[in-house]
Amino acid sequence: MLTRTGSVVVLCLALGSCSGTADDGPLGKPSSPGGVCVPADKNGVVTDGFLALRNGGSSSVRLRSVKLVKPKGVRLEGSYVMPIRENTLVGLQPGTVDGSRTALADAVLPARADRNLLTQLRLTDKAVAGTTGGLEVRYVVGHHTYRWVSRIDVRLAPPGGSCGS
Amino acid sequence: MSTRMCGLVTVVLAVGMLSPVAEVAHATPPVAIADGVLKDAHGAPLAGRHVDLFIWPAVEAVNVGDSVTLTMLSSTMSDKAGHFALATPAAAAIAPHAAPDGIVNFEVISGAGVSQFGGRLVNGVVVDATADPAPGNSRSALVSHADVQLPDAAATATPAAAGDPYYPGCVARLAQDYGAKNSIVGQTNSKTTGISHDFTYTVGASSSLGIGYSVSGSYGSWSQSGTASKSSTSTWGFPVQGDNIARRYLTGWRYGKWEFGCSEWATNNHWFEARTTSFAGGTALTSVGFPGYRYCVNFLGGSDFTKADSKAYNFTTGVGISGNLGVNLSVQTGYSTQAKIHYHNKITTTRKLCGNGDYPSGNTSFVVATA
Repeated sequence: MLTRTGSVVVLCLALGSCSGTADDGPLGKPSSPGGVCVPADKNGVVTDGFLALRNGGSSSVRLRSVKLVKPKGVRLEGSYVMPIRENTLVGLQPGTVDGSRTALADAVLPARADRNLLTQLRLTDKAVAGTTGGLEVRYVVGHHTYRWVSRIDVRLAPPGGSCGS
Repeated sequence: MSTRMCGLVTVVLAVGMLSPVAEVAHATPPVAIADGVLKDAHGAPLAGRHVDLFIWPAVEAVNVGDSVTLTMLSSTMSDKAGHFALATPAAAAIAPHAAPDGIVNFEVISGAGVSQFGGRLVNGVVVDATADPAPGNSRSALVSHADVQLPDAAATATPAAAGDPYYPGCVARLAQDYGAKNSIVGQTNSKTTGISHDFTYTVGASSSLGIGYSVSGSYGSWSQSGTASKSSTSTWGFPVQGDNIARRYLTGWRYGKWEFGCSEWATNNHWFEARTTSFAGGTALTSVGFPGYRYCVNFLGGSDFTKADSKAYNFTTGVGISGNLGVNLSVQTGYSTQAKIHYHNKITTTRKLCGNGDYPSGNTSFVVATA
């Protein structure tokens, strides 16, 4: 059993397909660092549509999942992609965003195409601001799993609150 | 039995795949830190000439008349096409010359021809000094791609006789203090109303500042030959900007005229460089026309956006030193945790933030607020 496990590990290392992720896939390097802030709606919900996913490769990409980085007081309720119209992203919006969005999990991003990434976030306590330290998107090309990282911190001000400055 | 066979096959497979990688790693040549083509005064490639890499000492407090000795780190010969590639010296050779924040500055010298570049030593690797130095940010090794052109036919030395020893050495003396020169370090733009925008430049923010070169040192004889990296040593806040304005933010860098004396074989070469000596600080603003833009994102009322780490636009005449040299020099600053642009939508109406080369969260030099 031990030998079989070892074999699987070695084969995975050799083929580079079973485990581990790389940051240098066709969606590019981690985004520039920065931050955004927006007040949540009365239910404590915000849709973050500030980011674009760009497939710079020559093969399609299958998107797998999104994970928030170091969330505090906020949780991820859903993740979606939608076409970009007239080179303009949805941006940060209180509440949910409808329209031609599709679930991110298993969505396919064709070669040289881009999509608006939407994440639906909810404050765990509506009276208190929540933050994330960016997010990670996992995706697959062939047998390889990659990770794209946004280093844009997101802060959700409480409903009716202000982002200050 | 089958398990053992499978394990053996797997190990053989793994070894078979790993071995060539190990061999390739051993065969990899040293990484170049600077490459380019050595050219004569008419632009023709020069073959078979020495090209040397020198490093500056970390100088901050320097007075007129003071001299500094540059240290040679590596040397190579230009090939038949004039091409040269200088290898990365070991970090241990670079570290003693680094400023406390890791900033290092290099000169590629052949005869009286030079090109200059700066960087930051991080974990034993010289990286782009204008990239964000915050922990965890990805950085790759810096390679300067710049040609070196000799100023005149007599400016490159050759051995008088076969077997002559080659003793390169360089001393630079501060001949004149030009004083503080305002340099552009950032720009924010609002083509609409209801948006406040500002820029901060704090301790440790790095800029890449142009270097002037002249053989005679006289007014009107200067041209830019490279750049040097320098960091701010104090924090300067700029006033918040409002409606329908594109603002450039300037701060001061002290510049000086350096006289170079560099030996090669038994010949001494002389030239002058106008380069920054220290951070002077201060704040100034100028108004400019709006840059173009293409990629936008909706910017909801009450929301806020801060951008860091993207390499800002290279202001080719951003250092105001033409009164001394006859030309202005370039300056480039990266938006980093020490240099940030910030936009805030003060009203309830949605506006847009737009970038020129990418969406505002991506790799764009400018961000413009629009209706």
